[in-house]
Amino acid sequence: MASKRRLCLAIAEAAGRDARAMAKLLGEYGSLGAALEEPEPVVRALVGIEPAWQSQAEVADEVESREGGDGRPHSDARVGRAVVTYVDNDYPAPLRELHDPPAALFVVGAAPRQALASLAARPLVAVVGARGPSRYGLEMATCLASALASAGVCVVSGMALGIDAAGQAAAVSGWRGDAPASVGVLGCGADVVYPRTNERVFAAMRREGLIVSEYGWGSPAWAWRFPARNRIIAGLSRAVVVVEGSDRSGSLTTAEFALDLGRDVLAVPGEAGRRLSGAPHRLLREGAHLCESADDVLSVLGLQSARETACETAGLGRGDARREQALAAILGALDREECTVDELAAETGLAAVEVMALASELEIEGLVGHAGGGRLRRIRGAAARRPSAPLRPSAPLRPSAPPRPSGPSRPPTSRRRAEVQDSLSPPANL
Amino acid sequence: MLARVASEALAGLESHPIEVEADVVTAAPAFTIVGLPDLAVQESRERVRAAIVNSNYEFPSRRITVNLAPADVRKEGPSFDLPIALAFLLATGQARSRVADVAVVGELALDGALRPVTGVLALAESARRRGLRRLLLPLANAREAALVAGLEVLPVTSLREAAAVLERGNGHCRVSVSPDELLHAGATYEVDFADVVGQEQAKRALEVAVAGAHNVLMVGPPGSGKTMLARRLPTVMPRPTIDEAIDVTRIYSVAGLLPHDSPLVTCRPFRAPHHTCSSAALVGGGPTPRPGEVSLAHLGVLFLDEFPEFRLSSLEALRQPLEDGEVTISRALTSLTFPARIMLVAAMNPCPCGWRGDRERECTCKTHRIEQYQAKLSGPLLDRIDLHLEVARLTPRDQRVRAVGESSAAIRERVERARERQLARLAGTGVYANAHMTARHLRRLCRIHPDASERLDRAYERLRLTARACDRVLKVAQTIADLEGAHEIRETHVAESISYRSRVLKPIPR
Repeated sequence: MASKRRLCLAIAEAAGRDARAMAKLLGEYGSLGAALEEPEPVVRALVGIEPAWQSQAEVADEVESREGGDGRPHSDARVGRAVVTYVDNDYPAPLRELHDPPAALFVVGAAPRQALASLAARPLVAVVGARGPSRYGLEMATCLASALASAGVCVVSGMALGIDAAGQAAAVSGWRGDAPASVGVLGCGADVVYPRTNERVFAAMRREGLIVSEYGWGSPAWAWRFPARNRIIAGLSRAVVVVEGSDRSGSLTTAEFALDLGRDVLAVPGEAGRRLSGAPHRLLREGAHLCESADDVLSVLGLQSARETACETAGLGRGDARREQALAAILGALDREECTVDELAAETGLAAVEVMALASELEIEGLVGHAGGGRLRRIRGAAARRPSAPLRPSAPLRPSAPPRPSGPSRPPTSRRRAEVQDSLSPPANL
Repeated sequence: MLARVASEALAGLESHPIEVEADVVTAAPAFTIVGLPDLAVQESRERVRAAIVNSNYEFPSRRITVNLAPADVRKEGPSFDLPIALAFLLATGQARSRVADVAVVGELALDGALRPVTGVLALAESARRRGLRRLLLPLANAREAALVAGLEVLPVTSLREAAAVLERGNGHCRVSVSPDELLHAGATYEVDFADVVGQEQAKRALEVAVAGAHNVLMVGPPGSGKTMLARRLPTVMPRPTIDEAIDVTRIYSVAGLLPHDSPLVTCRPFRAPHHTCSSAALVGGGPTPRPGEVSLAHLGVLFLDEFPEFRLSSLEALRQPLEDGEVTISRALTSLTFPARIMLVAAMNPCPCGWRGDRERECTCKTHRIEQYQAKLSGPLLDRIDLHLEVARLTPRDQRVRAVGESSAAIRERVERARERQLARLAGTGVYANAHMTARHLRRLCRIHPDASERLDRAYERLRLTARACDRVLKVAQTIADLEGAHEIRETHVAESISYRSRVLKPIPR
């Protein structure tokens, strides 16, 4: 067993250096499982790892087993790291369906081994998309991920800029159970922060989620590793949702891997003709499920819808018929398309001033958002009504900004999750 | 023989009394000027010599010493030419003076003609303050000096004429100007809000901004009309009072920017410096400190287009004038203060390429470029901007609609009434408009309906406003209430105010 584990690490090392090593191995033995049955020196020679040479991953693994968990000291005591190989029981079973499964997974998170094992009991859904999304895309990713998380789904993504990060940030703030709230699959070492601007999302994911990579500790981000990690995203998930992307987007490769594995593919429609609608529309044309809200995802998975339907403007009108009518007119106009205040005024016959006041009320209720270019938009997707639990103690009008705790390590208090939410506030609705 | 002539020296917007003394003795021929003169004053020797000779006076080969007293005040500029020449003529007995209470300023041409000088209003005010009743000065400056009540203006066109006026004791023409009449006759703007087609939301937002003297940030793609809207802001600001017009005129006079046709600036200023301008040009400064664009926009609008493209140092230098309403420039020897009570109107594109959020064109900017672009605006600066406004581009179809908008005059009426209400409420606080209220003023002076404060609490929670943003929302809501004539802040006021908060620019997490 130990020798097989060592062999897995050697293969992982070789495959991480050069993608051809794995191809050679599969060409020779047909599958990773079969290769592991072969004598160790032969396999090692085939993938180009000297028998006497101890791979970096093996050294790290030894340190881990010796010290029982975290090999290197980490700033957050709760965050640990682990290496899970193909032969371990904790290895995610869905990944074994891949033609070229990763020989080892390097994992960072709170109690990483248990967290990885707990994934078996939860539905995993990938939310992937463009790195430079539109406001609409960000909003859809945020809404979908947070609604999926509150329905108990674990959101998987690639921790890239844009849709990936927005979705994972929303999933972390939407999930109320034990870790992991979300799984991030990297194209570099699981302990490497790339891209660096996502530092905050990484920090939250280390505490609340799980960061996974098939590449050894400290591996740099190389371009070819990113499409390769997409197969793990697809492999882990039961369904893949593509939010936005051009027709050359990497999310298309994720969707292809998902189709090969027999997973469901959903696409969020965009505006016709936009560059960022390229990928989802191509998928829809090829038969992907239409995804307008988290309900669509849940029904594809055969899960219960978490959304309770409520009359959206109820209570907003406060018994004033004219007001209620005006609110409904505004929502109706926005249901058709994004409008500026002036256009809404022309459409509804209200004064611009009135429209501004009513629209901000709808915005406070989370029914209307800001689309950029001075336009308002209807917030669809899922959780139009966000969980009404106050994010901060509602103290009206304090004379100065509330003091925020800072410092390298904070004691784990009950406020921690609220802070995480605060730092990861979904950008679209602000 | 010794002769004295009174004059004035400009320092910033202030003027100091100066005595020009000339002494002519029989000694080795020389012409020296003492008393901290700068280069332009030193060169005055050559102009005075040529002007005297060319006016058919005699320039004797004797030792001439000119002293500008007090000797420890720096003297700048060419306005001492005329007093030096007259003191010289008096000292050599070529002219006689019958008047004692006259101040003299003017620049000489080599042929003895007079050229106008800058800062005459400040000079004349200072002369009047020190008790002088007459001011001898170039004809071109006469109307400006006549704005000062109780000062007789003696306009002249040449050195010979100046000497004759001194000898006769009175001028040969009277100049009188009534500031009130000028003010009522003037104040015509070339633009009007009636020209603006559509843009109802923007017009409303700007009306609110002007009513409460709130600073504004407009965000919109190229061609959405940000500059057009900003240019029309002075037309809806309250009409300037006499004192305000005089204040503005004084600054323009010192900067040499006074219009030729009118001695009084009757319109509210609109200044739009280019984004490459240095911080000295923006807030004032230079070797001899001059008013910068913020001071030139005093009591008017400072419009900064392409806001994030301004140099960081320039933007940061804006913070003091925005806070205090004045600029202080400190030098080793002196420190000067220029007034700078401005309404800042900043405009920017939503992203470097300009098309983010546009309906027809797609933005091609990378996320981090947008962040870099927006991060140039520092938090402290954005904190001083109460109203954020997104301006959308009109489609050609909208532009063809020939509906005539509301005229500037009608909007100004409402603005003036709202300002009156604010002044009444803020009496005794030293604050003249809602924008400058502190958190304490907000709590003490603003009455908020319970429904309105509940709405605000809800927004605080749902929209994740900061406490600071809440204060801004409340200030703007107070202005909206003032515009409506309501005596307390109601729910709709708060709701409208919330729509003006910052949405485009979100703080970038660090």
